[in-house]
Amino acid sequence: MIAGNEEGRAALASLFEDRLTRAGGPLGWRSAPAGEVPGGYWGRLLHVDLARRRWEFLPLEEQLLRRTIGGGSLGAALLHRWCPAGADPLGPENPLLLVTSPLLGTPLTTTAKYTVVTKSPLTGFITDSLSSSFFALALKGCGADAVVLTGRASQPTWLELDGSGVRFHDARALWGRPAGEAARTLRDRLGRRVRVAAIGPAGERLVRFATISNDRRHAGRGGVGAVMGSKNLKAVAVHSGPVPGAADPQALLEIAARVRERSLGPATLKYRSLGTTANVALFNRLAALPSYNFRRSTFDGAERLTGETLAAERRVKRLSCAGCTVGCEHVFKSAKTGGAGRLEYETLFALGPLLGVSDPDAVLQSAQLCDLLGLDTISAGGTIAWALEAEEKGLFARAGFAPLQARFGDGEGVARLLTSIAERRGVGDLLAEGSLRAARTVGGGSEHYAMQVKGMELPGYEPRSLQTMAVGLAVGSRGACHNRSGAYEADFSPGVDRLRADETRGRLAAESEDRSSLMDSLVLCKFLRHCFEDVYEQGAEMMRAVTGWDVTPAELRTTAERATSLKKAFNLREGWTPADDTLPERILTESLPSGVAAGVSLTREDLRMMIDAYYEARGWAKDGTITPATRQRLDLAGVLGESS
Amino acid sequence: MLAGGLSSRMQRPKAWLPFGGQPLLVRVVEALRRAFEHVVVVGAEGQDLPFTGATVLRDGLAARGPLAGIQAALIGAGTPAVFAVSCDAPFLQPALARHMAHLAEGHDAAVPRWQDRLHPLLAVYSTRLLPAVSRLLKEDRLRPVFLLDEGDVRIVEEDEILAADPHGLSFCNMNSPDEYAAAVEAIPVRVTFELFGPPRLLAGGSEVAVDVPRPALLGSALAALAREAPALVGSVLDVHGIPSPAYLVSVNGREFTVDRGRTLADGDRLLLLSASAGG
Repeated sequence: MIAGNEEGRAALASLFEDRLTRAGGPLGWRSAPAGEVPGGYWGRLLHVDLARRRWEFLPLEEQLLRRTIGGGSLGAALLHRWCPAGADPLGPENPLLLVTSPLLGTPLTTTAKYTVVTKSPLTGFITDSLSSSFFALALKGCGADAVVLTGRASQPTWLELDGSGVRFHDARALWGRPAGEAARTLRDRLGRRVRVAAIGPAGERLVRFATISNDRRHAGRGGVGAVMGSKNLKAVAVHSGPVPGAADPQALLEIAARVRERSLGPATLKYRSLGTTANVALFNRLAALPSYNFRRSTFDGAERLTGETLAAERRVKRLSCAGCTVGCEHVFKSAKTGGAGRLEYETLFALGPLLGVSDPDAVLQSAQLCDLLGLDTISAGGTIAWALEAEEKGLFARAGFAPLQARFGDGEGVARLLTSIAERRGVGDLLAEGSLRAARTVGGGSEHYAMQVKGMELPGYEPRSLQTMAVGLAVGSRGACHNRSGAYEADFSPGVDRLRADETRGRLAAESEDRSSLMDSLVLCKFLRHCFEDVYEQGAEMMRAVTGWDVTPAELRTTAERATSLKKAFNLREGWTPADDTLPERILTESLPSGVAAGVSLTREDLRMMIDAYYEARGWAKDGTITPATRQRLDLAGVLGESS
Repeated sequence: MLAGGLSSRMQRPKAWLPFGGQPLLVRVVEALRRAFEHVVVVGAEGQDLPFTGATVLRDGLAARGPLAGIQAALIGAGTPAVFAVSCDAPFLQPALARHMAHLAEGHDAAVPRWQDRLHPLLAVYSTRLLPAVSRLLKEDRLRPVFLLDEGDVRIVEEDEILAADPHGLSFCNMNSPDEYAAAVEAIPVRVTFELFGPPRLLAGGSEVAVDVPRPALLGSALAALAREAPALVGSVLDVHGIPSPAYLVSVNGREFTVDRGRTLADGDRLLLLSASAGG
């Protein structure tokens, strides 16, 4: 099952051409950019007003594009401009942004990604959520670098986009259906060259951790699906069209060949052979696998859920996103139903050990339910874990709620709760609000068991046994997130004692966040990260070939740093305070009971010390605000469109 | 495993000698198990042997020496050939045993020559030699070395041995209390690699134990791993055990390192994992 170099090369040599041709129509990247617009960009955005059923293309300044590149960074700048201060995340004034990037649509592997940016209904702060594959490629051909969706349609609507504009359609017949089903319906109607992103029932019902789905992939975190639902928008269908040309197509081809070669080597073997499911066994051994709502960091039933076991017993096939040579998606079959579904580490963790569930069939069933309903698996698992513990402690009954009728280890009970959340039925209506809001409603000290940061549930990285990651999780602009901070890499490095805190972690966390920011701006999949000796240097090389700009590694370092401050600037405007950069009470007051981390704890003071060091590394003030000097150095005012 | 010797110079049964916290016989049988699917112990009639879980054959000819043991093994093991070793080889390297078995293919026997001496009690014998063994026993020519004149014998030379046992640990044996004391002093450090992700898939197992001569360094342990789990060579380790930059080691799940000069202690657990640990 492990793709060797030769197999990969032979199989994938034609993949790009084939997939790009199918998804992107004429290979636009081959032609040099036209006129004044830099390569890889359209130099404009598409604004769609759903209330007035109008659309328009608006210019994007080259300076803005150069200083943010694309993806989450460009999205942060645009959100700042388009979202009124204090906007209700589920109100018509909150824009939903679909943002592309300059590398998207080129032959560079793993670049078929787009970013959904909005003010999160889960956190009240910015969220930027990536998804990938064919829809991203099609979106790049829609004639704009970003689509800004504002207002609320008067009835369920779906949009049809092509390079020339937008058509509005009645979506009442699609309402209530899973995203995948809605997409199939629209593609049957419009043709196979159309790609669709859609919400499921959870998004329609404004579940605060609902997803947007396309091509089996999901923009998962932060409730972007609820924002789409709040606009009465079921789906966006995009006709594949030509993409902007690259400044130096020949240089780009040479770089793409080199990266592709590396992407088939040892640096990605883990993803090709097992995907992130490989993390289960390792994290369990390292006492970094949260279980039973973070009461433990090992899980007795982990062996049944390890990637190694799943691969041996029930793997069906391996898939990849469009234009990707890695192929990290591993599909497993259920021994119970015979059905098959994709599993990766976060889903395994959140619907397995976190809930005390060790039955792979139960986890697979829950994962498939989340996909069908349109639920973020991490927040769904985290919220249910909170509920199971609150129930165990009698807090639901004390607050006058009906019994939950589920317990830790009860896969069937979890499946029932997932459905009730998406339908906002019974206690599901409460859980659809996420763990923090639900805990505030239930009260009785249940906030102690809500494992979230800024309202976003923690991913499967135990902060007490990964104390650099603890900083990354605490300070993350969109809440607890393992994608915006890869600080766990520092914890897994020589010379770092992951079970202890020290001041160096602030800088390590900031550096990790910057590398992630760069990859999320270009955009490149982070599974390539070990394919580069220096992602800034190789990123600059790619940017020069695509855009024609004289981009340097130093410029990209500043751009990456700017991305974090842009998001922070938005959060500051929306009421961020230092108290938001912290970890759940449990993490800071309870020690770990098992495994190699038995007895390990993380104190509030230690976390504070590391966060202070992080602010200092960022050039921020001691209270976490952005200093005038840093604002000026990063030209935040210019990028945010404010007068300086 | 030929355990039926009289241990006359040792003055106590070798099979029971405490070695690294276990009877010597158990230790050597464990090493054989890491090399072969099927292990049998040949003991003398009525001989008290530590429990190893392996089938015990009784040769009934204890006084006639190891050749009788080889005969019992060839008759009773049920395999076309046997790797015969005496139980006083406490540092037997499974990689060498496997290597020998491989080199013996197509020959009647394979015998290593180490430091200019042939070692017929660390050798592979085919059942094709059974008639010759019977005849030698009948003629009372009891030294196993006589068997080497009886067929097509593949001599395994020192450079071939070094590929699988670079320190020649397998050839350390002990016949007297002094040699035993010296061997105990020189017990290599035993560490266990725990394999995660691709290394586990490639090796087809989750753990590999290796012996590392003192002073035990991570580099030596990795080199031993490359010999013990050759499927890792290529994508995870090179032939010298140097890991690809895509992999790193955690010592006991606490400290991550790529320092091949890192000293190891007996019982250390070495986690071999992808450097892309995490998402």
